[in-house]
This record gives sequence, C-alpha cells and structure tokens, in this order.
Amino acid sequence: MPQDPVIVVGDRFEEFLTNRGTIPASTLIKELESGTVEPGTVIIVGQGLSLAQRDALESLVEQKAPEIRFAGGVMPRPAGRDLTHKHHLKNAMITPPTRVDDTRFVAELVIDEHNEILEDHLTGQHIPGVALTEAARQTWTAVTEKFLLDDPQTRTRFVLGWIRSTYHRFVFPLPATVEYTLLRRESAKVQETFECLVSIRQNDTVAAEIEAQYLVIPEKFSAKQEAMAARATVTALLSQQATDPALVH
Amino acid sequence: MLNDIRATVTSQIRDLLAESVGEDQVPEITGEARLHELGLTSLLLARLIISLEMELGSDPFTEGDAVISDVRTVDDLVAVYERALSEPQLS
Repeated sequence: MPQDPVIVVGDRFEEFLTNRGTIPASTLIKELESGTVEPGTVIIVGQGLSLAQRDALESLVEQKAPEIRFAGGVMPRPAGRDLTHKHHLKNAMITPPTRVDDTRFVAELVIDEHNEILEDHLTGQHIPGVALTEAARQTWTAVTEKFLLDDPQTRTRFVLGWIRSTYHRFVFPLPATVEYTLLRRESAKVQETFECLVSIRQNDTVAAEIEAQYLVIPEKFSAKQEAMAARATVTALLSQQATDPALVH
Repeated sequence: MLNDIRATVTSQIRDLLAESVGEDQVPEITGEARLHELGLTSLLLARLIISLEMELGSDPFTEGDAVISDVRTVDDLVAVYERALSEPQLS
C-alpha cells in the first residue's frame, strides 16, 4: 500500500524539521532499525546528513528494498577532492557532475551535517547564500576538471577573476540541482579563461544564479606569480611602516 | 657575460610575446621599454622568470632579494640578473 513519502533532513535543521512530512536523519535511522517504517515508504533525501548517516541509511534501505526505497533510486554522494578541491569530504557540496551537452552540466546539491560553512552560520530554515556560492565554486571546478581541461595531467590552479551572485528565493534543505552553463572560453599560453553561469534549482525553479569568471593556470606559473606578488606586498608594507611608524593598518 | 645576459633576457621576452601576438607583431624591445606596456602581465612575468632561471641558472626573485615591483623596464630586469650573476657564489 503506497505510503506518504518522507523527507529526511539533517538534525541540525531543527526549525525546518517542524514542517510536516520531514523527519530528522537520526530518527529515521532508528525507525528503520526497529522496523517501524511502513513498507511502501519512499524516502526523499534532503540536506544536512552526515557521511555516516548516508552510509547507515543506504545500508538499511538496501536491506528493506524494494518495499522501502529512495526517491530517484539512490542516496546522493559527494564528489571527491579531485573534483571539488576540498580536502575534507564533509565540505564537498555536490555530487560528481554529469554532462547534458557540450556547454551544460548538472550535479545535485549535497550538504553535509558538518559542512564548514554551516557549522558556524545557520539562521532560520534556509541554506545560507554564501553556502550556495561555495557550491557554485565547487561545481565550476568539478565540471572543468572532469570535462573541460585539454590536459588533465598538468597540475593547475584555479584563480577567481570575478563573481556575481543573485538570490531569487530561499533554498531549503531539500533536494536541489546545480546546473553549469559554459558562456565563454578563451585559451592563452599561460592560462585558460572560463566564464560560466551556475543556476541552483529547487522544485524546478531557479533559486539562485552565480556568474563567474575563473582562470585555470599551470601551477608552476601561478605559484611563481603569487610568490613574487607576496614578496612585493610584504616589502611595500615594511617600507611604508619604516617611513611612517605611526601608520595603523 | 653581461652582453649574454641582456641578449638572453631580450630574446626570452621576444619569444614570450611572439607566442601571444605573433612573431611579426612583437614590438621593439629596447632597454627603456616598460614591461607592462610590452604586454607582460604578472602571469607572463612569472613565466619569463621561470624561463630565465632555466637559461641563466638563477632566480633573483626567490634566491635573492629582488622584488618584482621594483622592476619596471627591460633595463631594470637585466640589471637584476647582472647583479645576481656577478655576486660571488656561496659554497
């Protein structure tokens, strides 16, 4: 007998979990373990689950399949460091992107309970805008690494040129997609310049748009450029301070 | 030796600019020419310094005290390398 679907959300979204139809991840795990989840239940995976909770839910649902299943069939998993450039998996915010066509790519939003941005800033029920901006950064990085680099063997650095973010509506800790559209690409000897539009969609509606220009530069050139600039800046500051000891920065 | 340094620096700049704008579009590279006006961005300068290290065996901007913001012209850049390569090598 079909049951009402349930939306599982990380426990930290306390205020959001007052909405009917949602359930904290820890509660759902206990109910699956005790066998009190009705057969026919479809679980919609929202945001804020830890990696351990994803593992537990995946295992429990597999044991109870096909009576209990995930909407979409699978538990979304974060992309690895090679794609997002985040050292800790808890800070990855997207699934590995897939290709729609030559200029469009899409990933799912996957926010961990212990995500670095959420750990120190969570007001209200929605996902903070700055977290969405970071999700966009991870998306253009992952798309470029996976699909757009001509020579994936060369070690590179990604350097931000400019960024513009527009937030149209709240994004809640529910499923969402992050779509990348390549707007412009220019190759030069020491860098490739990309311009993109990243759209965050929830319930088939665009909630946020982030436009950005970023450069992909061979690491040895970027590191040298940065080192020379750092030395120049330090020298200038020390010189300024020597000239005017009363200077306050 | 000093003539070699100037010739190497000028040649490397010319090669770098030729890659970007084409051999026949490279401007005249005089000693007074300002690096920025020649088209050398900070990233191209980084690449130039790396190439010069391979050619001359020295990177005054890492091993020495040279600061890139003090280098405005081709002459400035040549002088940095002349100083670096004329200093006694420590054993």
